[in-house]
Amino acid sequence: MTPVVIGQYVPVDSFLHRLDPRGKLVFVFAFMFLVLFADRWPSYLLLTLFVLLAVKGARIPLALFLRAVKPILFLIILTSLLHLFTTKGGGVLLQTPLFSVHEAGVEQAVLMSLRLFVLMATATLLTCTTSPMEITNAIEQLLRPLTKVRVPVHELAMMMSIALRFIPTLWGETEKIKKAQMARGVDFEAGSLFRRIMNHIPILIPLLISSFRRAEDLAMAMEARGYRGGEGRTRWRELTFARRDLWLIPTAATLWLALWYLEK
Amino acid sequence: MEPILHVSNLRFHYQPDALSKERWALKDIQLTVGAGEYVSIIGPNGSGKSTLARIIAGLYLPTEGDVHVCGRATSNEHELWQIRRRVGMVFQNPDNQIVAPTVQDDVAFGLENMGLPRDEMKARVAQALQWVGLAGMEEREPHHLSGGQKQRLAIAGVVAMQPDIILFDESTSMLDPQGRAEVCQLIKSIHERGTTVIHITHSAQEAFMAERLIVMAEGQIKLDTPVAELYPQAMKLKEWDLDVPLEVELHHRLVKAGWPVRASITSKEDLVSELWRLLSKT
Repeated sequence: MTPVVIGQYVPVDSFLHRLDPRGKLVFVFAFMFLVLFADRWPSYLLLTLFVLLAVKGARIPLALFLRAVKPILFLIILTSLLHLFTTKGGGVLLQTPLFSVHEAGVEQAVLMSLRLFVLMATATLLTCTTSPMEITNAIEQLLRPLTKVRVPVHELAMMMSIALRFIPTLWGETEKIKKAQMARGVDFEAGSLFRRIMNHIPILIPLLISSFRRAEDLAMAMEARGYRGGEGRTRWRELTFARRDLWLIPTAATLWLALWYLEK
Repeated sequence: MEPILHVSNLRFHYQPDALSKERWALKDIQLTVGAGEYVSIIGPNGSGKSTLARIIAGLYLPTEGDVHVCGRATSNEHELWQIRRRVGMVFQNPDNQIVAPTVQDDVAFGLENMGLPRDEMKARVAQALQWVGLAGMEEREPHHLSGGQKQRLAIAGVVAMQPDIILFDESTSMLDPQGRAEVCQLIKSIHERGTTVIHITHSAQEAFMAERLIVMAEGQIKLDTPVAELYPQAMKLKEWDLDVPLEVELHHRLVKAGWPVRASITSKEDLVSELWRLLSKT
């Protein structure tokens, strides 16, 4: 069993996979801003269409993609129900002694669902088409200017990369400790919620102690291989901005203009 | 042979500021290793062998005495980075020494630290992976590798840096027999390439693969001898609760039981031919 950390990278070859991760990251941020800014039907139609086209273009099996989006399905249903019953305005569609449903409520519910779906789909698309290493690298390079104001950008990126390296290892270890504690008679499912949370302490403490030990070993191994921070270091992974990455600019511009026109 | 490593009057204490200096981790270590030698260090738990390895690699600094690697003193802060570049170290736990999320990134880690240009890095990473037999696994994630593969990856990361000395700190102790055999084979080939190898181990079998064997106990060097000369006195290893290779134990028992075998043997092959001789006589 592997944990789903941040979406999951699907290693297939597509136009979206080959794009420079820096470009993708900036584009996704700009796109998410657009989504939050959009407020009307036609804009949402456009944005949803765009995301669906992108998913198709990324050559990701639809089932995999839907599985990644599934976790927020509950959130989408909850918020749309909330909007359905609380937003007042327009004609009354349904009147019961307890609650009423207005036209504006339906509209808001649908718009909110679409907004959440588009946001989640974009984020998932990014993590499905970009490996965690590429994202780390892109963040490091995009934030590089902040080194001037003493933000430890290299160190942060190194921490992210080590975290990515060790998440599966620690996950495996958690499973092992859990089984060991179950063999000693700990029942993780029984009792009240509080009881069940308390039952997990015998997993957390050994995990914490072993993580510290690992950290110490790793620090020693890094020093032995001559690690001394970011200075004087060259990089193995090189990001190159190619001609295909330029496509992101007109695409973003067109979307912005279209949205501006539709929202006017 | 020109010495590549020279340790003189070394003492090491984990708390040098402590008032009572009774529990020295290392006491009065004198050691000279020539370029290209293959040395194993064997000793019971807590004998200070790992501590010595870390001092040689420039990870700990001596409390007293001097350590010179390739003519540079580890006590000199500026030389320290040069020393860490020249001394590679493969640790015990395969998981805790892999830094990067993919195989190729990990091999490149040490090279990035050295500030090598990318073309050079590419060539060295490809070569190192080929050499340890992990070519074609460049994109693999470390947690999908077996223990032996992880340890071979760690070796690739060290070999790519082209150090003069490679230290193995109980690098085989957490592996299954197959992984152990693979790593031992690599250690042998590293030695054959002319790199100085210092192999710290618990296993007498592995220690006897070297040319020279050092026994450590209670923070001191108790025995330092060429392996060929060790056979006659190998039963001494029992004094420090160490294992004795099977052939030595067998020879010893044959002599004790009164079989007419030679009083001393020099290798496993020697014992085998001695046994053949004995069998053909009867």
